[in-house]
Amino acid sequence: MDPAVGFSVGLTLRVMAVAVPLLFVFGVPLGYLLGRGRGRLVGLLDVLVSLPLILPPMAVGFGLLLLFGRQGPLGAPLLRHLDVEVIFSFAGLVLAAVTAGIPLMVRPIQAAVRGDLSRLIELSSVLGKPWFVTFLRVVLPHCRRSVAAGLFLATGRALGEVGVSLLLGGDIIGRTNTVSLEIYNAVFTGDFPRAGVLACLLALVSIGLTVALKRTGGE
Amino acid sequence: MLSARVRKKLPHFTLDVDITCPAGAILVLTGPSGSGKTTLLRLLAGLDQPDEGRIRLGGAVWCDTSARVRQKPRQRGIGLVFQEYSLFPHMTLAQNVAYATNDHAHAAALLDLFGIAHLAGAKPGAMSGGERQRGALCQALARRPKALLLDEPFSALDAATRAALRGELLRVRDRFAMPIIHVTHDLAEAALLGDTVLSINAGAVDPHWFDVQAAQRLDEETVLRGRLARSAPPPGLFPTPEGVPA
Repeated sequence: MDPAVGFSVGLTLRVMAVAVPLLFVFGVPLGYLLGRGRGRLVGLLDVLVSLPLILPPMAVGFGLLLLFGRQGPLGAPLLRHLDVEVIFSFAGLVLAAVTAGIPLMVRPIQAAVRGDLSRLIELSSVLGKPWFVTFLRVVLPHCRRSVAAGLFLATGRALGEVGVSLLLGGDIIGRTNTVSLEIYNAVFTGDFPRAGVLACLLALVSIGLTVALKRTGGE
Repeated sequence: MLSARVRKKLPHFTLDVDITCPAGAILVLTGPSGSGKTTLLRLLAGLDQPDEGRIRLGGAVWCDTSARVRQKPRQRGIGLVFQEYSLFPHMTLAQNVAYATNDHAHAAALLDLFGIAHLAGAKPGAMSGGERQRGALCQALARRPKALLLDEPFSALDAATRAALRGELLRVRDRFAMPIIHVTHDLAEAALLGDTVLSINAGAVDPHWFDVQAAQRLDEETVLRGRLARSAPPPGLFPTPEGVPA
């Protein structure tokens, strides 16, 4: 295998190995909150979570670049206190993947926690269980198909992410060129066979995720 | 003794009632749809909060708005059975009952008592409506509740199963000696089960509602009986369901 292709595949796998657990950890409570919460703050959060779906990826990437840049309101304290530089780094790619995937992770859970689940949560509460036991033993199992569907959709979206990754990761060869960015690079340099192989690889993974999604019963 | 004097503003009226139910008795709440019965039950369970009022079980104060006491549902030690969704669909019956208690012997004894021990490994989706509601009663009783609240638990069942479960509820009353509040639309069920029957209409106790409805139903039945007698239907066309009181 071409070492450049191997690096891109390895980097993408590493990014997904961090991003997918993060999507689960943040996506499930966020979906629960947006599905069951009330009030303006929840409404605002709902709009924010939806933005990566609505806005052009470049615009989202630019916004995050301003926020997480060296002088940005979030980037500066991260660099100063934790010595973490998000822009043009592995962390930037993870942030791009999570940002792209989170709306698709959240939506199925948001829909699942409405309706019948309210009664089950009340029942658990009446049976003496605190909220975290209810969440782990009632909410999560009840929403497991939606969580799985959300994870498959979000993973697919995060894998194919280009715009936000380009602005946050910088597409630095040998450092931040994920598979989807490498396809762009290969096409740009006229190396169509390499672009074709990588595109087929992504397509195969996407088909696998779609099959898995169908098997969970999610739509 | 469970006692509650509560007031809560609802979209179309204000719920304002004062109820008491001694241990070992069934207080039936009946009345038209949307009259505030279920809301009252939810206030007792702590799932909703009254604007004003006080709810007590014996010496324990569950809610007292003037003293700013509002116990959470899990602190009240109650059993609650809804019309539907009274069991967790992803758990087996045994897991459902065990969810409410760590006392496995007690859980098994309850399943035996209701004759559903053979369904311990079944999930609610694979059980009949009557079995599910028996399971829900087991789950509600598993944590040895201090009061039992039932929100139309039998209304989705067929007549024969409903009649059987009414009998089982009377056994629960005699065996567990706690206050039982039972919400129903069914006048016959109210009359059969209630040591006290309280009609709630537009948020207030209506002492005449039950009598008016019962008289109206008797009139209707008289007309139907007369019509049937005149048309002389073939024998067996309208069988009386087993166990349903005439």
